[in-house]
Amino acid sequence: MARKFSIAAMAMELMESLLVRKPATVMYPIERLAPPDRFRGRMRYDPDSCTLCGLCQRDCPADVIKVVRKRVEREDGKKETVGHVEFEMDRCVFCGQCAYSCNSGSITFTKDFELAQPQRQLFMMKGEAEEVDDDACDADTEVVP
Amino acid sequence: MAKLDFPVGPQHPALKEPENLRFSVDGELVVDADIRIGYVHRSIERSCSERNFVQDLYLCERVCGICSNAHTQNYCQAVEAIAGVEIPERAQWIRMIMHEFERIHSHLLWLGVAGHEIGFESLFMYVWRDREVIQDILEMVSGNRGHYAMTMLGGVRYDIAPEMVTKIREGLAFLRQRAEYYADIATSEQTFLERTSGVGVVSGETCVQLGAVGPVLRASGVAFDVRRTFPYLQYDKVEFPVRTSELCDVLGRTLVRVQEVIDACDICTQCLDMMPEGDVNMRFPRKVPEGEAVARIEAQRGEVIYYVRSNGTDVPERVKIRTPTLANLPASLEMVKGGYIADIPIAFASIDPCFSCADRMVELNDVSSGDSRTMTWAELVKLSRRKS
Repeated sequence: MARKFSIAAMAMELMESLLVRKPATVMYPIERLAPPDRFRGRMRYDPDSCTLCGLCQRDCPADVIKVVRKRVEREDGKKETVGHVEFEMDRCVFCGQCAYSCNSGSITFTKDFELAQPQRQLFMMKGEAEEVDDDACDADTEVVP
Repeated sequence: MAKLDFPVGPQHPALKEPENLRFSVDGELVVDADIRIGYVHRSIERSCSERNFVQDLYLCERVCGICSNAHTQNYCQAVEAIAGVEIPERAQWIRMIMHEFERIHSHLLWLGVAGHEIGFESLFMYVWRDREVIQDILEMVSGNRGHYAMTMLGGVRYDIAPEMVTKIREGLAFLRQRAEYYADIATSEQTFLERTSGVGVVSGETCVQLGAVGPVLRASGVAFDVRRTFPYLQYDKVEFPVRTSELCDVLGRTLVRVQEVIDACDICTQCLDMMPEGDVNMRFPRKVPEGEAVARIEAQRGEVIYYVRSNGTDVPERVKIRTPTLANLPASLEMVKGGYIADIPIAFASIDPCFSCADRMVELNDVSSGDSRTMTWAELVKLSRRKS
């Protein structure tokens, strides 16, 4: 089969690419592309709204999340559940299932994509949650007496 | 001249993934070929039986980085069939759109790799630059460029917003135009023709006998496409041709894939036109009733088959995965036989292999004695610690 492309056409395309088109790449980190709205970057955890229900822990495919609950006695003699959530973010695959499973909107993902850390310990996140609704708690989650 | 036997791999420059190829050559001609895989076995099927249905979704997504959405769709179809759940219609159309988006990006990726394998680097760079358009669309719709986490049990996670539709249509129009340009190159560019025409030839009859699937089978003249033969989602409502080629060589496989990119753009456009309003997901039971199901879909590399068995709990009893690379490997060995040594990389690349997808089991054999061996979990842990 004969070549269809003439030298003139190729020269035109070359001139166009040199003069008109923008480069396909950007000069990172001087120039940064904006991530889309649905991008799942750094995780943000809001302990104030968290009910320690443990749904995020149950659905996390990478065992990132550990919900720790314990029953404590208040000054007035009544018992309440407090606890915290631990995140090992170096294992996170950013699937977003935790945010989807969370009924209280405590877990969200930001657009921050520069997540490298020099040490593994810096990936550990811990969020304290106080006085949660016992009925919302899932029986499968770990309970520390 | 005496025949020479030599091994290639597991680590070698032709492919990024490890596999051991053994060739018997007579001068420059390949007389016989054999392959050993299993170097990237990840025990995904066994791991699926240790996690619940929701966690398995993301595990199956990681069977393959390129056809990740195809695996989640197939898994979801199997589980939803066991549960007797029919997902909302809009979710089915969005699944189709994602399915075709992934086909576009995968075929363009392959075309670039094929250009690289035959020393046509400018083709590689042009195609991969254009591929960014579909990558940006995938990122806009799902949030990620790969491992989209878009498909979920009971539907899809995100809807396609009206403001996205315009951008998607523009991107598809551009990609369709570029795919037509690449189809033109594939049939007229002398460099490309010299390196692909008559290379890696395998007949349709041989492909059928060896169980080849996907573009490899269609490029040998066999019109089999799961989307047409066993329609799933809403594929029976859209119009698209089953692309075939009688060339039976690498050029034929290239043409089939490039034409499928054009068709995928058309299918997506039809989906956007026909997609009804409504919900995109529904509540899915955590515990799946006892039962079993087989699901099959036409992924970009060929037919993927999932078998899922549930025992009534929230953890599947068995998940079995058949990937297209495994089905195409016997045919790929036939492709290199009778060809030149220099054609081995492009002949193997023409099946679009993914060896980490294909590794479903590993058997430890002593090559000299032929004895097989079983390793316990403790031994495997000890070995991994020693090696790492």
